[in-house]
Amino acid sequence: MALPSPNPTPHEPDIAMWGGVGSGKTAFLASLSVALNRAEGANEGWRIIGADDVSNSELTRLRTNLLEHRIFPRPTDVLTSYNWLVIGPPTRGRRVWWAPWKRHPARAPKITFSFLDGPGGLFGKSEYSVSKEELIKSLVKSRGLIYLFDPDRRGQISDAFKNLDVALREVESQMLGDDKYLDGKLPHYIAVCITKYDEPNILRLAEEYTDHGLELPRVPDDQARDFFREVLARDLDQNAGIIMRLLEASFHESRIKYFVTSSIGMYADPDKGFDPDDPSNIIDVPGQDQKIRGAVHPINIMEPVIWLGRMLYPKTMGRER
Amino acid sequence: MSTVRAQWAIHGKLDRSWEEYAVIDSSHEPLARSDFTRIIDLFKSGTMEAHEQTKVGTSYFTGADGQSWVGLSRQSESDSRDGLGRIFAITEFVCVPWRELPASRVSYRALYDALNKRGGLPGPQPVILEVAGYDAAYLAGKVTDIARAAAALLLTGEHVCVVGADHLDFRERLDFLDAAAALLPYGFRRELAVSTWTSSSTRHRIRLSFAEVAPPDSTFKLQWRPDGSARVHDVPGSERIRSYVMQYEETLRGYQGQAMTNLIGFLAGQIEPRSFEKPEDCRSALSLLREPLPEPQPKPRPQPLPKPLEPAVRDQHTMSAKSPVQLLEDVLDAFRRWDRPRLGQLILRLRELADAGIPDPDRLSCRQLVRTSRLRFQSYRLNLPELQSFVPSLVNLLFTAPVQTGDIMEVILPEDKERRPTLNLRQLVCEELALLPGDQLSPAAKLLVADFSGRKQLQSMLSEMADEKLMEAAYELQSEVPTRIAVDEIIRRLFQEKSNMIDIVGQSNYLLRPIRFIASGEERIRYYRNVINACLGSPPRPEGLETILRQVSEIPEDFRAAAVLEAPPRSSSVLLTAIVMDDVRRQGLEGTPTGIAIDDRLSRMATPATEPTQTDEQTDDQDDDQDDEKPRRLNRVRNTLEGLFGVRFFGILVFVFAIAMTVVLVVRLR
Ligand SMILES: Nc1nc2c(ncn2[C@@H]2O[C@H](COP(=O)(O)OP(=O)(O)OP(=O)(O)O)[C@@H](O)[C@H]2O)c(=O)[nH]1
Ligand SMILES: [Mg+2]
Repeated sequence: MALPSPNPTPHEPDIAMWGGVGSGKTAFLASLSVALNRAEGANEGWRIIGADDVSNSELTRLRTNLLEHRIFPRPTDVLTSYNWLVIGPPTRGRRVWWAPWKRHPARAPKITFSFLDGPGGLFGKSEYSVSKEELIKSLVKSRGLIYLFDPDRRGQISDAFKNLDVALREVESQMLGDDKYLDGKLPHYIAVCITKYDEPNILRLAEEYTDHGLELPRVPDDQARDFFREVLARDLDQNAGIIMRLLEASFHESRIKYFVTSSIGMYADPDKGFDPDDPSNIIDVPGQDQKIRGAVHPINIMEPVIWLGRMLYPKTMGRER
Repeated sequence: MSTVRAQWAIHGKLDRSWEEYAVIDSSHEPLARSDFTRIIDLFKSGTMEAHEQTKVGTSYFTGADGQSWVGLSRQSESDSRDGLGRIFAITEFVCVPWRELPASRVSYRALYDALNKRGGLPGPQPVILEVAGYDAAYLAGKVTDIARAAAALLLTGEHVCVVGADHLDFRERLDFLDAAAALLPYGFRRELAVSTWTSSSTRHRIRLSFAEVAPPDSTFKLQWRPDGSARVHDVPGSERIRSYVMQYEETLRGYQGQAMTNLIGFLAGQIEPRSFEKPEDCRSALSLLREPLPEPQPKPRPQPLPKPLEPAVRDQHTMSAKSPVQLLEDVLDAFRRWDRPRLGQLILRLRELADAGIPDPDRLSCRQLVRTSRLRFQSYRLNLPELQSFVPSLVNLLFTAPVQTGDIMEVILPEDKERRPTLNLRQLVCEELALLPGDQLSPAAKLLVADFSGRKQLQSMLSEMADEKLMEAAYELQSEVPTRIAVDEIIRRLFQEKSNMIDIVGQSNYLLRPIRFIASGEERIRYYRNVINACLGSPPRPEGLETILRQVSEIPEDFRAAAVLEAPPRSSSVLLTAIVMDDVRRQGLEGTPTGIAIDDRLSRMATPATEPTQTDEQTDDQDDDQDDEKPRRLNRVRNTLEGLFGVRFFGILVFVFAIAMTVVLVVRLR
């Protein structure tokens, strides 16, 4: 009996979401769907829309669950792809030498990202699975990775390590076998996200790396790597420390960037604002989906995506401003 | 009710688990847990999100021992939560060896109901499921246009996705999937994965499913409509596949009511395994549909004691005494019962009778019988030998040459023009008439028949028909559409150069009668104007109009109006004379002193009155010309100006560009 072939997807993934079970991959994407449209400051003016009917309806669903039903996504069961069109603020029109008296019309950077999200923990088990094989294929084909690490998973770090280790070895054996990548490193850009920054104990842990000057505290990008190291060092598991070394050995140093992220952000009272003594934005009702308590304030959610966009499509996205 | 032994598995998470989804429990022999993992993994249809209905799907695989299995899964929300506080999905999965399924013809709905009734799935042993029997009538009740379309499209080997049914309960969706599968030979179920819900953002392997949005690939999309209507419009791929899908759907459409139940029962018996991946399997499905269904066995009736004669023998005994109508009735009855041996005999006899000829009253009764017969034939059964020999004999029986429209109108009904997948006897007769040699039918009858056999036939018939015949037909036809078509064709020919249609129209009173038959009011006047315009020729002259009006006896008011509207310049006196003289004739004054006086007066009025008008009109015409000339001259001036300006503008452009380039060069050189 012939093995049925799946229906083909028109896009190969550009960016694969990667991380352990419950590390926050799908929540990240849900948050991205709202983050872009409401960013302020340096990243203002970005928008995200579905590139086709399917992705549009998925975008709407993620958004509705997060904002209206105020719940997190359910555990991901199968590889899922989202083709989203990210539109930036229009650049100032440029002058060109053959017509120096006039400006070219402003143009907004516009890129279709296809994100691939799957169940975490696929590599924790040694047995063969179709999803595992497909995920490896996608990791090989994609050019950008968003690796999510849940710092709150006490006792689960060795799982995270095993997952990363196995997956990296699989990908490396497929990509580095021939002489295409002479330096022996994977060609991907990878955004390493330390997630769930809003959790009270993570906030506490990150205290000394935190910038309090803003409305909501956040860890600046240049502190993120140190914070990651601290999170790993704190763990008693010996493998923890190796995770960072593993990443930096497999990817070019210049192609790794660390972010400390939160998909929902801290709770901010509508009148009094953020209260360091009451930061939790989650209400846990036993037997039901966890509820999000107040407004969603994505922290460092669009930044990794825009960074990857600038790395992957420097022409369209423009260099960092 | 029958029982099947099913292997089972539960896929999900344990309470408060930090692990990913996995098979958490299953039966033991002969399938291993890895088998379950593999098959459940292969046929996942997307993540189950909050606020979603229970999801039911089917799957299939081959075990290590080469045995084929068919699976059914039911996915619903967990009562408990995983380690991250998330409600997850629990999938109950059962699978049955393929070889056990056809024996009891298990439907998806029956398997689901059995699983539902069973409750939990405990222990390492297989579960025994009590499955209801295959209910062809229930399934036939669920067949809609969409189901037909889905079944036909599956045969292309592509996936089919139904959208717009989000509101539908999953059990109704399952019934739909079952109905679509029931329209294919049962053997296809060995490799048919269906699901009541798929997410199009995943790469799934489900052939037929419901989804919120169809995936943007080659999957066929069917829109759910409350009335179940749907049509297959665009079938990409080769013409062959296209026509094939259309034929399958069309053929299915021919089965309604009990016939559909019979068909579904018949297809359920086609249990040899088939694959959607094999074009030959799909092709043979169509030929299967086209085989005449085995007739359901008639219920045994209590019989009177003496055994009746064999039908064929009995017919021979009694045949000589039978009237043509009785014989025809018997033939139709034999068709109804699909009594093939008897049919052969009867048709033979009918042919002999038709060749010998029958008296007119019998012929009329036979026509009456055909007109009222409710017998219908599937269009794909038309090439059955019985039918092929019957219909020509029937036509011979009903008509004598040359067939007139009146004869045909005694047989056919207006609604016979509608084409359905099944044809009635009248339509068959009509089609046969269309095949007769030209001299067997009167021209009008030819058009009538062609009209009933479809527009194309009519067009080709028209283009071949000689002018006189066409005119004859237009006069004789008593049916609106073909008359209209004939008149249109005549008018078209009138406008052709070197056509002698003009003379024929003139002799036939300028089509007054057919036009009156097909049009009224303004439309009729438009028709008349066309005819007058064509017959006047170009340039139109008052004498032409005079001829036309003289040839028409009793000019109707609307024809007068048309004549006024088409009258060439300087024809007012011609018009007046013709109309008044027509009145004189109608009132019987022609030749009387009054009539002669009116004629005399008219001709005296004509001479002096026309001349000033003539010059008036001539100067008018010249004025018109001058009026035309003015804007033309203006245009010419404007064009010249624009040309000049354009050249100058271009010059300026070149000059400015040159300066700009110099500036740029100087700046860059520095
Ligand atoms: N406090 C907090 N919790 C989060 C955040 N993001 C995710 N979570 C929690 O982590 C859980 C898992 O998040 P998901 O996005 O479903 O994780 P995932 O990586 O997609 O998990 P799998 O699909 O099972 O691989 C959520 O249900 C939340 O409880 C966050 O930004 N802040
Ligand atoms: Mg997920």
